[in-house]
This record gives sequence, structure tokens and C-alpha cells, in this order.
Amino acid sequence: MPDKEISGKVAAVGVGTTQFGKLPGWSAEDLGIWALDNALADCGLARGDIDGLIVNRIPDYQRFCQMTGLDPRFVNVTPGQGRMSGATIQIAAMAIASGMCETIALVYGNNGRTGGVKYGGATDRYGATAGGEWFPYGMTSPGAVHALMFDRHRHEYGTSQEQLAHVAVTFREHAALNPDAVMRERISEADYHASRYICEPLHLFDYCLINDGGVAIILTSAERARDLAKPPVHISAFSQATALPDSAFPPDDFWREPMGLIARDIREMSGIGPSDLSGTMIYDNFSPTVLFTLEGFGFCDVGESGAYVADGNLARGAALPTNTSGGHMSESYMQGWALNVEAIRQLRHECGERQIAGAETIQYMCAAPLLSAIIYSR
Amino acid sequence: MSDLASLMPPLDETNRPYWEGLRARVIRLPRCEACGRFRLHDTRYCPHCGSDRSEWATLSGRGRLWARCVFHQVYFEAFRDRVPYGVVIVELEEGVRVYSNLTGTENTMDVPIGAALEAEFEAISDDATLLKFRPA
Repeated sequence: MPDKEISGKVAAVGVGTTQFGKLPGWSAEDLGIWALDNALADCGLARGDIDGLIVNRIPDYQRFCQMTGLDPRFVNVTPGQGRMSGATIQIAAMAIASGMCETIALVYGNNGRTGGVKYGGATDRYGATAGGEWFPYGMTSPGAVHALMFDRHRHEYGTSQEQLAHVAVTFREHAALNPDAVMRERISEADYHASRYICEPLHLFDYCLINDGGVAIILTSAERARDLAKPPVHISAFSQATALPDSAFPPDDFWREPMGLIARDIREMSGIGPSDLSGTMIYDNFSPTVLFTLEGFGFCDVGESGAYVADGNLARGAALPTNTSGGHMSESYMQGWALNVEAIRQLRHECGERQIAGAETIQYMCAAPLLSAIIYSR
Repeated sequence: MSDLASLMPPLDETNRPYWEGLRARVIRLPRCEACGRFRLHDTRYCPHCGSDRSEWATLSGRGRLWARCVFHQVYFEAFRDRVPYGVVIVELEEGVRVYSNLTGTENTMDVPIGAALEAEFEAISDDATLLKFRPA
């Protein structure tokens, strides 16, 4: 567990996003710079104030510094996988808390939609071993792994497709109130069931939306954060765990064991538990991940996540407002980055029509072979 | 049917005995010499006891259906005319899981999770044979 002393010592002070959608002609670097400019303007800092940089999905930190003139003491690049966003924010928090640098820009740029990125096929390692032993059977893609996991979950616990539908329908309801969301047209449960299968039992609406876009987050020490343009949002707790050795196959426990470790850590680090939260941001690459996350982090009992979402608990104004931006399935798949920005904006009470009334604490969670969680507080 | 063979992994010392076994219509995988348990051939150490000593040994071909899905999306050209097609996870009675396809059923989703399965060997070229399963 990270040292309790770190709790509240690091704050998010600037956030920036680009338009999300199809943005031909924009490179990953261009999109990152667009987002970074917005994040700097948001907090009133200049490029010269940035002494730490981590880029994600932007392949080359050196090229990025050449383009922008950023001249950091601390620099890093993390793999362009969605599971890495939470983990990268944690690296930045540790670097600031340790004094290696004071103000870090986290910059993400993704031109995957224009680039025709598809998660699945001969270049995709998800659900693959070694040289691709399962490709001749047609097995590939993270979506198929989640389809198999959902099939297993409904076998073990009686979870139904009718229950699962509530995840996509609720998040689309949220996106309808988010001017930045790519998909804002409300869908009904009937629309969900009528939509085509991508990998049965998962429908089109169970999948995230690949788009072009950029996100930047500026973190600094709590002391430095006091003088900046916007109210600071503090990082109260964070932790991570992994489930990697057998990760070509779905985990037997839907990642409950590593999520349990993280849940215990962040509660101990911050004193904040599930019932204290104003809302959550759940990494929703595929809708079943939301079910597994709710169980693993203790928001409902094991096997009860289907009933929990069908009862409407994730809606704005309900017990656990979740993915108020619309998340990956309706706002845009910005690989966890935009969900963290939404947490920060909610805690600044900047979210207009979709604002969670009186939001004080929000927890971000990602369930994948690398799992992470972050608690943000006003 | 030969186009599926284009998706075969390159063979090296770690996977050749497995694929040559399938061609000879037997399932061969590494069995730990320390604890006696089977594992897939892509791990260097036994996931159960950590030993690096193993020998190739033959499995029974009996297993149970663990999970199912049906692909409607085309990710490989070779499957363009095959969608929708089922992919399943089979838990072999020796404890190892593999991805595979079911034979002898129109719809993969009609076979219940937990169903007893038996191995079938399906040649996709002169050099390559796949491990498939049919309800026992």
C-alpha cells in the first residue's frame, strides 16, 4: 500500500480535452498538444512550469519535447493500453510525492479512429498466447474475452442480458447530457437487444467507441496547487495490482482477488469506503467489466452486480452515479484518461446538467490484467 | 479450407511437439516433473509449483465446456465466410484450459456450460491439425 502520508499531498489542477470523434490530419502528438494547451489554460500554468512529463499512446517523449519545448526533470512513456491510464497517474503521484519533480503533465493522444485501429486480429495479443496459438480457431480480441467472461458470469450467478443492458442504456442517458460525448442519442433496452452482436453474448452497445482525441491532466503538490486558477482536486488514495501470468484466459474470479487488495489499500490510505463516495468512474471497455468492478470493489455482493445495475443504482441521482460523462461506450474510448478528467470536473462542480449534486469524493477503477483505483477528493 | 493454415503460429522448440502431436491425433503438453500437473506450452515454469522441469505427456482428450461466445465480427480474412462461428474455452480433465471450436452442433450456444466434451482432430492442411471438441 502506498504510504498514508501521501494521501492528499498531490492534486490535479489542470485538465484539458480535445474534441472526440473522427479528426483526420491530427497526429497523436497534435492531439496531445491540443489537450495540453487546454490543461495549461485551465490551471494558469505555462509550459515552463512543467518539470515532469509522462506521455501515453504518444510514442516518443523525446519528439514530444522537441515539438513543445517542454524541458522536464522527470520524463516517462507508458504503453498505449487503457489499463495504463490509472497506473500512469499513480506513477506521477509518486514522483511528485517523493520530490522528484513538482508539476507533471500527463499527455495522451490517440488517432486510432483515423488510423483504423481494431482491437482483434493478428496484431492483437489479448486472448492470445505466444505466437498466436488460438488464431486458427478464430479466437482474438479483448471483446471476445469479455464475452466469454460474461457467459461464465451468467452461468455461475444467473446474471442476465436484460440486466447487462442497463449499463449501456444508463451511460447513454448520461452522455445525452454531455456536449463532448460522441454518442448522445438515448437508447432504450429494446434498442440494445435489437442491436447486432459483435461477439455474442455482447452487442454493439456493449463495446467502447474507438475515436481520435487527446486528454491532458496536470498534477502538482498540494502546496503549489493552492495558488492556481481552479480549486484543487486531491488524490486521497491509489493502489494497483495485477493478474498477469494466466491472462490469455479469463480469470476464474473475474479479478476479484486483486480488486480486493486494492479496495483494502485505498480504504486504509484514505479512510474512504464505498458508502462515502459521491460517485464512481468505472473503466468500461465492455459493459461486463462494470459488473465485475462493482463486485470486486465491494459495491455489491458477489454475483449480485446484475441486479445492482438493473435496480438503477448507476444513474445520476441514484445511489452510485457512475460514468456521468457517458464513459467509453458513449462519450469516447479515451482509455481511462477522460474518465479521470470527468472525476476531476465533477469534483470542481463544473459538469452543468450532468453534475452530481454536492460531489465530494469520486473513485476511478479499472479492472483488467493490470488493475488500479484512485480516490479523488475536493 | 487451407486459408486457416495461414493463421498457424510459427513453430519453434516450445510449441512444435504440441502441434506435431495434434497432427498425429494426440494431445501432448508439458507435464511438470516435480508436481505432475499439466500446463500449456507457453510458460517456462510450472504455474502450480514453479519447477522448470517438464516432459511432454499425453492428455485424455476429455473435458468440459467452460465458456462460449459466437463471433459475428470478422477479424481475420480467413473467417470472412465463416461468421458467425463459435469459440469456446474447454477445461480438460487434466486441468488445462484451451480455446477451441465445437463440432457436431449448429449453434455453440445450444451446448450448456459444463457439458462433457471429447476431442476431435481436424486437419486444415497437410501440416496443420486443430484440436476441436464434440459433445460426449
